[in-house]
Amino acid sequence: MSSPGDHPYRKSLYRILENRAWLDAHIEALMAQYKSKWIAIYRKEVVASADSPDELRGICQDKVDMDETIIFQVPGAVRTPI
Amino acid sequence: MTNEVPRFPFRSLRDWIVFLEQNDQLRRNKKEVNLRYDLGYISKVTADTGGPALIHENIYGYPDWKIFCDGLTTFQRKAWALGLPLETLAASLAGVIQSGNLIKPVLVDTGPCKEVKIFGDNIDLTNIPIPYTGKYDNPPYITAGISTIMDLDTGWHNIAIRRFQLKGKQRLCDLIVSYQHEGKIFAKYVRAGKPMPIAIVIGADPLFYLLSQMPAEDNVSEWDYWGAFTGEPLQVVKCETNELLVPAQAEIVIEGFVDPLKREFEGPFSEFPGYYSGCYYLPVVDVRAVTMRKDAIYYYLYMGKEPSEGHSMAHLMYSAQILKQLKQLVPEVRDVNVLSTWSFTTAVTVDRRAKREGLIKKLAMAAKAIQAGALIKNLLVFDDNVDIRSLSDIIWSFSVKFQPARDFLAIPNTIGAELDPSEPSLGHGPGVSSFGVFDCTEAGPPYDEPFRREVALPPKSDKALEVLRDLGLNG
Repeated sequence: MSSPGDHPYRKSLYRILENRAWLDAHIEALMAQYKSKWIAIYRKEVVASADSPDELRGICQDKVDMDETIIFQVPGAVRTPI
Repeated sequence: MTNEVPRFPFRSLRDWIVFLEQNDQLRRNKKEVNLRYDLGYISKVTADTGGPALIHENIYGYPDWKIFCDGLTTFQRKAWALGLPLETLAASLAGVIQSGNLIKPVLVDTGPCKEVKIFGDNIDLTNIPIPYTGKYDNPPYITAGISTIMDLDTGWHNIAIRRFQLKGKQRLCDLIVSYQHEGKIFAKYVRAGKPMPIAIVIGADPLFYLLSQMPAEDNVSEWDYWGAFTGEPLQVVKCETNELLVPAQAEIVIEGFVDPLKREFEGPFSEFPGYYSGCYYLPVVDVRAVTMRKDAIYYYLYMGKEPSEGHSMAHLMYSAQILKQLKQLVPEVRDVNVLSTWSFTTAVTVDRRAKREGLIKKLAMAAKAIQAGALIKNLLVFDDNVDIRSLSDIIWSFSVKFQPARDFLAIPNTIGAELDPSEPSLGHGPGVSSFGVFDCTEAGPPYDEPFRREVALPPKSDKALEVLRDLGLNG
């Protein structure tokens, strides 16, 4: 476990984890607002939404670092299987 | 590892790597690969083309690590891993599985998986190179992590590869499904209000990996079969923070506890049916310790649309366990071959001389009743003179023996697989499916002309065989 934590890949992974934690904490509100839409989450906020992932990428790829961005389709409901 | 050339039984991933390399079945990739973009597609193509096992030695951001993958994508390599002849692999495997010569693991004091020990807040799972697979998996998943858990009442150990999404430096989400052993065991911890200890093994010998893909019977630990194949017990060590046992030769072991009540949003993931799974609220693994070798090798499994190493392992091992468990209820069963998707579609043969009214229905009910048959959705039944490892034989028999109006049985509202993308279209959501039985066995009389019941093949003459031999062709 000696990989440097300040490597660009590792930094982007930490950002992804932060974005994911934000997504997890706000999923109910996101489902109410963006159900079935594709959203881009960058630096803990929704920076764009669209009807398809390609459209979404087109909107945000020049504005944000895509390696730190979560592209996600908001579900209508979430199951708890166990 | 000694200087001797490793041979079966392979006791570690390293023995297996040396063996594969010496048999020209392993390639080392020294070009830089990015965990986010590169590994999934390379493995997909490798599986598609029957390519070699791979070690990636130049990982962007992880200069000290190597990643191994695709070791068990071919029948030859699976045969080597099991110590069985390729020519009779299915029959030989079935023989070992049905032998009952199980040997429990032996506890040893320590092993290479204890060379490095990290505890508590010092753990950072992002220090391990976990590749992305699908483009919407975010953060990435551990895909070759063998979950090891123990029954609360009996101490029965269960092992199985599960998907673990990285959620934090010391946190993973664990897809636990209620009808599988992991779900049944976890339910006991939930009822008792106790956290479930878990150990996730990443990187082990190839037989251990194959066994982790085998749905053994209730209360049977898959690793007891390790001794059935090798004649000796698997060496295991105790975890640092719980009572679980793990292979002493493992590369990486992640120890933790699954809270009985805590659930966290998870998904999507490029799952084995070949589509992205939906999102779930899933149990959470709080990681308490990581132990590993000093120069640990990460094991990666591509997951998604088949073929893949995971499918390759599962189809072989599911076939053998379904056969074993089915024969106990229906002795007329002769052979089983999983055709697709972790047994969603499975072919079975029955003794054609022992056929009787109602046998196929009995077989169908048994297939859904056994532990190993939980995922079967389409059951294709053939006579035992059909080679169910030959797709052309299967399609031919289906074409000329199966009558849709007579030979198809559909049972609605059965327990589903959760991850089958066709389930929601039934209107009950994921987890509810249906079950279809395709009776492709030879129908009985009346026949219009008796000679038409003989399979139309040309005569096989000595001269024809001689000519074929001269041409270098098998007759």
